Amino acid sequence: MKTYDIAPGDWLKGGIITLMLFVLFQLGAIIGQSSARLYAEHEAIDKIKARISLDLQFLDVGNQTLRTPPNQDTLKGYLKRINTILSEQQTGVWLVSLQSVTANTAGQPENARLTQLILENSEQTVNVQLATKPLYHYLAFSPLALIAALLISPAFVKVRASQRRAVKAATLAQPLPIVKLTPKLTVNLNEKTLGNGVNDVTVQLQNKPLCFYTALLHYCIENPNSVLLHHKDIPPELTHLASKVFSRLMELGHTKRKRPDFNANLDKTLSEIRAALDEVFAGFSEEKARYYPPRAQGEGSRSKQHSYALPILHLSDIHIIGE
Amino acid sequence: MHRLRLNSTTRWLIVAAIFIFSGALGYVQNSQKIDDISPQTTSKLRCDAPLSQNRKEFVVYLTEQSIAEKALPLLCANNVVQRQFGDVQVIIGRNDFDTFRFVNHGVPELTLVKSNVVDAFGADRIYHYDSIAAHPDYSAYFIALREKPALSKEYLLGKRIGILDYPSSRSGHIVPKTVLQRLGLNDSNIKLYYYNSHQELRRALMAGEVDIISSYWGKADEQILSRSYITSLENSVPGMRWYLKMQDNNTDLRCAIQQVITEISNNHPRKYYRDVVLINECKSNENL
Repeated sequence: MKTYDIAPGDWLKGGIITLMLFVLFQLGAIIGQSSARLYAEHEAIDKIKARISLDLQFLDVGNQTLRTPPNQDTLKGYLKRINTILSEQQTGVWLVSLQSVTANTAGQPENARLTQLILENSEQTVNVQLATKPLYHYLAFSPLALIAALLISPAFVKVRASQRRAVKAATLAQPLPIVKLTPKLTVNLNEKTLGNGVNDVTVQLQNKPLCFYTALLHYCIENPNSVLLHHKDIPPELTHLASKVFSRLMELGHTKRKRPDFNANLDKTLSEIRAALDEVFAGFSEEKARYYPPRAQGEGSRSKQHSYALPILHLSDIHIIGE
Repeated sequence: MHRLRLNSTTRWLIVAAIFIFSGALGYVQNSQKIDDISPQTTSKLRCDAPLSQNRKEFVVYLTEQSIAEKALPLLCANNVVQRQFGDVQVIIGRNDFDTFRFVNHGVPELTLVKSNVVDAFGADRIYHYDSIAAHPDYSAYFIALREKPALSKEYLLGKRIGILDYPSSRSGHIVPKTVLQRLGLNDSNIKLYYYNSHQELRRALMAGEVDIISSYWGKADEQILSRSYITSLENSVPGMRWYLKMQDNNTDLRCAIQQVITEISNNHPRKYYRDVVLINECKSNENL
């Protein structure tokens, strides 16, 4: 199971993003709820208007010309009947007055919005007053908004994502210096190059130093305690190994010339090898030492005790291609 | 928890989609179907179930809810009505206009109205409305709160007088206006205030809105007003009458209805309606 290192700051950012998304989605819900409510309200008012208009010819709403007052009892009863129907349907709309007659609106909510309807016929004008429940009565919390905000907020937390990437990178980087990033001498006989196995840096060697160095590597692995001295001829085993590598180079088609004398110009051969290794292991001085034929140190560099053998080398330390 | 790997456009598209979906859901939550409001002016009562397959209805026009409620079950249960009609429909009129329209178009088989409404348009002659029962005649009075009103021009000048606004009312409209006209008083020298009912008139008098009202004198008035402060305008204003449409010589129905009227009267809480005189009372019950 994966675990993530989430900082308190990320929680805060995540919380703020969730809150903002929730507010946005809740706003959407409120817009939907309000429009439905306003539409229903509009429809209810239309129905009331139609009903009163049609009923007017049978209603005693008084008449200014005839100087008759509205019939209080009849109109109160009428308003009550309409209000009962409206409340049964839960329209949230009710009649407040018809002409001068006021309905009993006890129990209706406060802050009602009042709407005036003026109905006119050829003889008189009829005033109708309606009230509608405040809009906020119809706005509700939207669980969808909260759930959606919680679900999609992770997609918006960028810091948290990069944090996780860093954690992942760190877990990947750790084994690299040990397993992959450790340079390992690679001798490629096909290409006649030396490489470090880590990056693409390779250096081409002449046939003679390449054969000698490859032979030296083999010789030193097989004879870890051997001493190779400048002023002496190289051991026959080493010469034999070098010749074998040379034969292999001939097989690979790199040369047709006769086998060189590996004893001649030994110092020059070693210098070429060292120069190549310096280049190949640039930046990996620690690892280089293992493959580097030791130089003569201090005064009298031609010291007779100086050995150019590689004392601590294992077969696993090198990789030879094309042997 | 895994990180959602979404590019910016996709993320904002999702946000927009959820926003719209939230809106749509909110709309659905609050959307409401508002039904049409049925007509609310004329009340009609019917029997619980049709009496028979007969398509002819026994239509009754009344102006009092209390009488309508008592009449309906009696009519629905009546043998003669059941035999002759498929249903009973009781219409409760709300104003003079309803009464004029229904009675003078000959709609009801049976009605309880003021005789002057029937007489005015000759409905008795046109549709043969026969008066089968009558509630007592009564008197019309000027009623005041603190003194007995005098029927003189000098006394009534400048007085505020409350009358009824519907012109079919005898005691509340026709009689007082006739009296005032006789005394040479009219809208220019007295103040007339119009009310919708006799109860409203009494309330206005008690509240001091008017000095004098024109109305009948009922038994209940003795509790709130003084009999000493009333002046009679006319002694015999004809009472409410029951009319039955007798286009056929349907004597069975006449007898049956008279019996129903008696029962309604006997159980009515108001004294005025308890007094009823059956006109040409049916003696034989053999067909009922």
